[in-house]
Amino acid sequence: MFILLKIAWRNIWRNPRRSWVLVWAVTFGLWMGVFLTAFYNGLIEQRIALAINTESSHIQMHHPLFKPDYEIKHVLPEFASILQSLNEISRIQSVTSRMVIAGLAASANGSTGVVIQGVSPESEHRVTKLCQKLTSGVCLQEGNLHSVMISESLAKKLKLKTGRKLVISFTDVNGEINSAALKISGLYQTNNGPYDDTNIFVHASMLDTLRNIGAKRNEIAILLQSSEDLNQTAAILKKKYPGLKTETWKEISPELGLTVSVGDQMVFIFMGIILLALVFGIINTMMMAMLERTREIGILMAIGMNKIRLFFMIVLETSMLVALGAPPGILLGLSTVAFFARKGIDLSAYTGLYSNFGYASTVYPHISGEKVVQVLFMLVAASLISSVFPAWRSLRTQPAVAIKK
Amino acid sequence: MEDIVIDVHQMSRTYNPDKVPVVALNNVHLHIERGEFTVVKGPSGSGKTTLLNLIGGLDTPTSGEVLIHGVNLTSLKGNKLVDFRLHNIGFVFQAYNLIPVLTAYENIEFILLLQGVPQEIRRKRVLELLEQVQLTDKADARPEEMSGGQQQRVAVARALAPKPQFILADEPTANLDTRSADNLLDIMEKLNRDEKMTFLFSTHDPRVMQRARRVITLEDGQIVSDTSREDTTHDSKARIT
Repeated sequence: MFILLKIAWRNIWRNPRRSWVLVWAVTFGLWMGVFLTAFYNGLIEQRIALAINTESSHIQMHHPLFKPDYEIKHVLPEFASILQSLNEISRIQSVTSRMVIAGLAASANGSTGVVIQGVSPESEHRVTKLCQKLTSGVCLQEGNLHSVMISESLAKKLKLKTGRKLVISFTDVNGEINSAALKISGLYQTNNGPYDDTNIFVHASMLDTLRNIGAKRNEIAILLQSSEDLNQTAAILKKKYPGLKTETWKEISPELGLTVSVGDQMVFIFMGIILLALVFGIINTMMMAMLERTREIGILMAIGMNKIRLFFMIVLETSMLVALGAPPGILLGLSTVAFFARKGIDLSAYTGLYSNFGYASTVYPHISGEKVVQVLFMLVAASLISSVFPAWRSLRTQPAVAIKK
Repeated sequence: MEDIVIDVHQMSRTYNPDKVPVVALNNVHLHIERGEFTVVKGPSGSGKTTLLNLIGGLDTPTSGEVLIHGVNLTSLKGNKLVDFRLHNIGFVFQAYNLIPVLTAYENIEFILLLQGVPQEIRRKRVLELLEQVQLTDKADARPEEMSGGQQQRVAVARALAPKPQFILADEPTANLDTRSADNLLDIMEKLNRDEKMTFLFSTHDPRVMQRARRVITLEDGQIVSDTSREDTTHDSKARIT
């Protein structure tokens, strides 16, 4: 009813200062809600992107008996022809093959367990942008087989630098220990501390020579044109290569999938806390407004305004206050997100903490339209909830008592 | 046959019946006919407002019943009672009884909107009422922009808007100066005379009592006298129970 809208609208401006405080609270709450959602979203998306780009890629293919401890005997049959075939699939951006072996890296100053990534430098760079992670020295060169790339952190741990020798050793299929002294060509660094601590990169063909069993690979990593194609491409590959184990990044790193769902829940909880504070603010303001208007409500009831209309009028007042605060809140939130999406939020002061968990030091917030709608939906629900209590209290007004006030 | 608008039967109202009972009305019996201009007087706490609240359906009697044109108010509950009030009873309260955010025009129109009266009829009726209470020039004024007397005249117009059976006016002149009170009472008297609108006042104000054609006196929740101007010597005990 238009008259109820009119009354509700004019009622909220009877005490402009109070109404503006509430409108600002809604704006601020929503602003922070959108921004926090985007921040957390960006953090998780970057974590996933980082994991895909540096660790798992979108899809990996292994021998069915391949285990996380990289048992050396479970290699991929006919990997070269598989690679050729995969390169012809339009959804696939790049493919690379690896020989991944668990081994030991030693220097004169100590030794540590490592994952030896036997890679083809060019194709590896196309999939994981290996050379972009270089911080000093040079990337693995095709002509220089006896070179190795290690991380800054590992170099520090083993007290090494570029140009120095690193001895790697691993057990082959016959249980014999193979070793090689390799020259450190370059140092790299990712935003994933644990990854850096354990992964070293060598030429796969050097491992072939060392193991003397010919060209063998136990891992194919696939980077897709778009993450949207993940499940569909994985399904196609599973069907095409039933003898191989094809896994998406979610299957390879279930903890990452968990991060996404936990992240969503965290955002939900953040928003819940913000909205809960808002709900109490709105209830308090509306209760004060209703208390001041007890006599007026009594008169409205006396002259013939029924409870449904009264309830509707109070809900309208609350909704209008929220509706006034929501658009600027969303706008400010999206503007802040857009600003930091370009500039990034520098968390380098906490890099140690974040990189230990594989997070980037600069976060680029991002929020989808779907999430904005979700936030708005939560706000609408909160405003309805917060209008119910004052409305319910008003409905209990006894006109005869209220008119005397 | 007499046209009885309000019929009160052995009505009592006790507040806090379980704790410290306060008897506001005790076994009251009265009837008001169409076209009466009646005043209920009595000292503070005598039960005047309680009586008007019960007749207006704003409160429920502890015992007894109120019939408005034969409809038992005590049998109506919730929105049915509200709707009954909307269509049958006009209220004028002591002061500040307009909706402050609406103009004079909108305050009167509000009742008609609640009744679902079509826009054209609504407009005609509101303008007609504003003219009756001599406030056509204040149609767009909000209550805060009007004097107390003008506000009360708008309240009368609003009370008249739904063409009720009667108007209950609880101390309508209490906050008005003599001129405003006289003006308001002139309008009410004219409505009573010309349109046979029934008025039931609760008041202390001698200016209202002077104009009343019937004065009911309440003391300690009971009617102690019921006097008609046409027959001032008649102490109508027969009408009192």
